Amino acid sequence: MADRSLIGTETPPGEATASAEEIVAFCEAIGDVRPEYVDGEAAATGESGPLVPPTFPMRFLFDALDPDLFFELGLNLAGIVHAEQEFVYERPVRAGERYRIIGKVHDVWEKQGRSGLLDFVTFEAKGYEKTSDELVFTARMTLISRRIEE
Amino acid sequence: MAGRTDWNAIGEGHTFEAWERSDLSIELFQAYGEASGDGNPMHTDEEFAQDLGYPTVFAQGMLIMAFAAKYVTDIAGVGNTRRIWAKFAKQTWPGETVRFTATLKRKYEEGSKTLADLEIRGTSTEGEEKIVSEATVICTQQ
Repeated sequence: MADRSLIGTETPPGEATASAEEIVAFCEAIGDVRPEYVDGEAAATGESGPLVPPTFPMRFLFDALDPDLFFELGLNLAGIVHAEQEFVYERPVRAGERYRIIGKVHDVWEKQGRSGLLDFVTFEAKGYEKTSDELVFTARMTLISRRIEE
Repeated sequence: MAGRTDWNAIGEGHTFEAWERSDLSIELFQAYGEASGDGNPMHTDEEFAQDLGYPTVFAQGMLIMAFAAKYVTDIAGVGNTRRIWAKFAKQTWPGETVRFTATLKRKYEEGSKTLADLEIRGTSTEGEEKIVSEATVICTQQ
């Protein structure tokens, strides 16, 4: 079962950057290739680089998650569903900026579903711009895992 | 970088023009999986999905959320999304079309900025709700 004592557990800090090539590939895949994302010249406004689509930083959350944490949390890996996702921006993420990423287990709870007990886990990752240590974004992912009956 | 919205002309309860995204296919889910760093074969490998009991692959929730985020960006402009949250309701299958609508719930001042809270829904053209989303955007005038 999902272990509530792991709430607040942090994953080792990582680093992330949005590369222009990754942004272009993402934009082409979702069909949103507006110049502010993909055209370096059109995007330049005196700041460091192109802006990124609001869900692009999901990859930073994937990178921040320690696989061991999934096991420690006792989640049924075969039955995990992505239930909710949130991004909060203090200011926009830009290509080329380097972020220090801190991940942690934000919350753990359970709920009775129609077909059995469900475990909920919310993971959070915060991204701080490396040189200024300015908080730029917070991402939260909620997963549902169907508890395996004994 | 403003969106297409004249914030001064609209008030709470305003519904924005809908946007439909079709052409959903296994190839699209594979391209998105590759480009987003999401390697879960449930969305890209038909045999794997069928082994898990699904009729075929379905879209990553994050792909549908990326469409919702594009819709919000069209409304508010690039760089103006302060917050976006989504709950994934039903799976989205190849061949479906998702229709996005948004309502202005609240417009308010915060410091020197005007912000707007939007509620967004993505529903298939058959009427099945795929995603419920909320966004807080900065209102920059056209």
